[in-house]
Amino acid sequence: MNENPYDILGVSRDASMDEVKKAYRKKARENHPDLNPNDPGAEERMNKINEAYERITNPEKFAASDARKRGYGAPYSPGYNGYSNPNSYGAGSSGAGGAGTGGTGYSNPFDYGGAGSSGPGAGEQNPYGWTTINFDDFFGNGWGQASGPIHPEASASDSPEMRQAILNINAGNYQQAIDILQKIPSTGRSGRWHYIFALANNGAGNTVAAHDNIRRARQFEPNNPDYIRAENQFTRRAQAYTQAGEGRGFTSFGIDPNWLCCCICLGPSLCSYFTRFCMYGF
Amino acid sequence: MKAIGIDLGTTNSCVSVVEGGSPDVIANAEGERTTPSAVAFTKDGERLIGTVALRQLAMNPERTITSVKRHMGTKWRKSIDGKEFSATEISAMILRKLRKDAENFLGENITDAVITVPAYFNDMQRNATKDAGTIAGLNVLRIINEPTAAALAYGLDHGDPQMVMVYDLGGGTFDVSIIEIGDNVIEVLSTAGNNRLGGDDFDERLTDYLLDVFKTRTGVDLSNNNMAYERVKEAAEQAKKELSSMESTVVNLPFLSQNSSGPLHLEETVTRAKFNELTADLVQLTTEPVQQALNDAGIAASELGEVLLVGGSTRIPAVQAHVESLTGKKPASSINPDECVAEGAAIQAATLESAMTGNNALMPRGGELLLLDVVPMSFAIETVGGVATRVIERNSTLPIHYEQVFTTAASFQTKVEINVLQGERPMASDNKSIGKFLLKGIKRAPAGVPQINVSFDLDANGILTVTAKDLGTGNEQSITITDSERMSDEEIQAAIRDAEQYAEEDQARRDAFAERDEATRLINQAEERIKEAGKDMPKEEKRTLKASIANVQRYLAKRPEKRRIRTRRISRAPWMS
Repeated sequence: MNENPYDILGVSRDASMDEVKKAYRKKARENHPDLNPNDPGAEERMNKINEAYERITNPEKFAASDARKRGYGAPYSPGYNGYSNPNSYGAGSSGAGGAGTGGTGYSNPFDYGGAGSSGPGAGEQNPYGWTTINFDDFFGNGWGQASGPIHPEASASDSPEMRQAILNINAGNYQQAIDILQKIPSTGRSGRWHYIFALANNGAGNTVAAHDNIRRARQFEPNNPDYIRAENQFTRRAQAYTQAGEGRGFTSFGIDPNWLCCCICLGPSLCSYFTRFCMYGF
Repeated sequence: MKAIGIDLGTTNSCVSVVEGGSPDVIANAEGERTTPSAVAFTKDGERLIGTVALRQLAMNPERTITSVKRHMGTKWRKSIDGKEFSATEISAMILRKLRKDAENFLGENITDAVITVPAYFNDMQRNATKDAGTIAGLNVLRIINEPTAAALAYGLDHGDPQMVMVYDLGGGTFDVSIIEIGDNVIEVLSTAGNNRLGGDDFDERLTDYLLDVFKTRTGVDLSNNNMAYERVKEAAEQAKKELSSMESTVVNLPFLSQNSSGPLHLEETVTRAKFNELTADLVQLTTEPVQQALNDAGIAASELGEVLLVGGSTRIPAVQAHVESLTGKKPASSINPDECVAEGAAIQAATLESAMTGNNALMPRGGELLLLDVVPMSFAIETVGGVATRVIERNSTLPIHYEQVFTTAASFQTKVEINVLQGERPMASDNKSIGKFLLKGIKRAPAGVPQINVSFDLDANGILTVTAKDLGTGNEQSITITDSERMSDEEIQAAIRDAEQYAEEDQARRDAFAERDEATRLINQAEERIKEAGKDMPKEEKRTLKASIANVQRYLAKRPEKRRIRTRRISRAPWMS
């Protein structure tokens, strides 16, 4: 999407969240295909409006993919906040980080599920889709360690509720921590909240919630090393289960096959199969 | 033309239509406001739908189908007299009855409808429901989510900006949605649920308990005795309902079975406390989806303006107490848990219909509620290492367009298989595969040269379409679904023909029954007259009339279901007037 999301919704750059929401609803009523059934362009306009609204309300979600799509070029657009400096993302990568051809949303398949994905130096794709691995960073990022539970430390800026939740996590009372965190209203849910909530859920065995929240945390702060370490740990464990189940034994070397095979493969995942049924995105 | 809203439920279905700006529930042919979602095939091959099907369930359990919704979008088949029926076809029979009853009620033809599904239905289940509508002769304007529909019904009267939670525990499915209302827009923030949790499970717990009690007392195991099992199940369901208003109830089933000492009966007092104990873990199962929905919406329960209870199972006091403990709010009692989903569907139907036709009488222009729903589960594709790579995040607002450019990894590769998944788990194998698409006809070229744009479109129904385009040649790639339960267009057309033929047969059969009734009535009347007249009736005439009666009786005995019964000779006899 090349237009500024604020322009699409017709609000000024410094509009409050309430104004943005009102504008979104107004635009939705004007453009939604349900209310404009005889207008063939309505659906496409609504797609754009939905994306624009999400870019403003949830900018973290788009930061990573925008950075990749743009390569390391000029900033996205002035006055549009919400993502960190793209150059700090994926440090140690080679190449331009995606040739800018992808669509919208999450175009990097390694963002999710791939062990050690998109951490600093964990590797980026060049325009040909090959993945390069910086082994120093790879092992320096907590590979081979962090097998036990992560013990978060309370920080000075934490609210009393957050501190209490952290105490409970460190004491192994994960459910209590979850209960406390869930009572914190939406206004108090920062990246750190999602990180602590992810740890509590991971401890309680809620793997899906743990994954979702660590990803949300990383959308707020893509380069926070604590978040990266936690995500790596959660992801590796999920894969270790599967691989142990399938008896492939990739875990012994500590490197996931993703990184060796250098492409995303759509379809059956057996390595011998790659040569026939294999594609990668960029 | 009017468009109706249909709540196609696991145990009960409901139909509504908007008239004069507000939704009304349509009573069925039996005069009921909800219709049991049951289909039965009698030994004679007659099809029964609704209450009549349910009534003969204990006598005919093998040929009666209930809770078919649980099988939507699966390989489940029911074999009746050598013909296999899918869940889609059975659901179509229910929908056809609902449609016919609505037509009789409204006195006009009905084709346009909005049908509701559990929010947590996946793509295959949504498609199956849409197909069922098509087979039933409906033009399905939209598939909408049940909790969203409930919020629509609520939002029509409660327009103040607020966030509400809809807790929808129906007969077979559980959904929870967080919805924001304001500026005539109903916006779904998040949705979570469990497709395998509902009132049926509560019935089953109590049924198993009663069977255990019976077995302990008599030593007779009824679990393989279909008829006795159905009787116990029916009694369990009844007891469950009674325990919503009473502290205890008595299950009394005489002559349930027998052993050497004679007939065996079951009489057992069930308390609410016992029922709660048997079902406590089921109630607990709703906790996680509630919290997930709140977390996905990014709000604490204290930020909710209202909690709406939907679905018959929310009448269970333990469920209500649990919702209150989870949210800290007393649930609203302003909506009817059985009817609000159909009403919401009718509101959406009227909105769509009035936007299409400009008929403002249905829904005053500007007063319509715009529904902004979300996709309940993430879509992903399987990538190397069996990883599920997300392409569309759950709770993204519909409609959604997503595209990505792919290229080949191997030189001269001409095809690739894409496994499309739905679910939240990081590994592909833990998610539901909703279809495999074989992309063929890729131009033979060195690896990395072809550029194939794959786009994923989720329409307002939440139904996915995948298209692929070769950017080099501009050709649209052919995509073949190789592994899906979706019916093909030909199969749907065949099913429509089948259904119409069935409808004709049913009509002929109903006419025949009516004729038989009439013939029997005439015979009785004629015999009565012969007796009354006694010697007044000339012998000749009496003989003729008796012969006519005998003739008709022969017809009746042979059950000529499709032939007309010649009763004219009786009715026109001089003494019959």
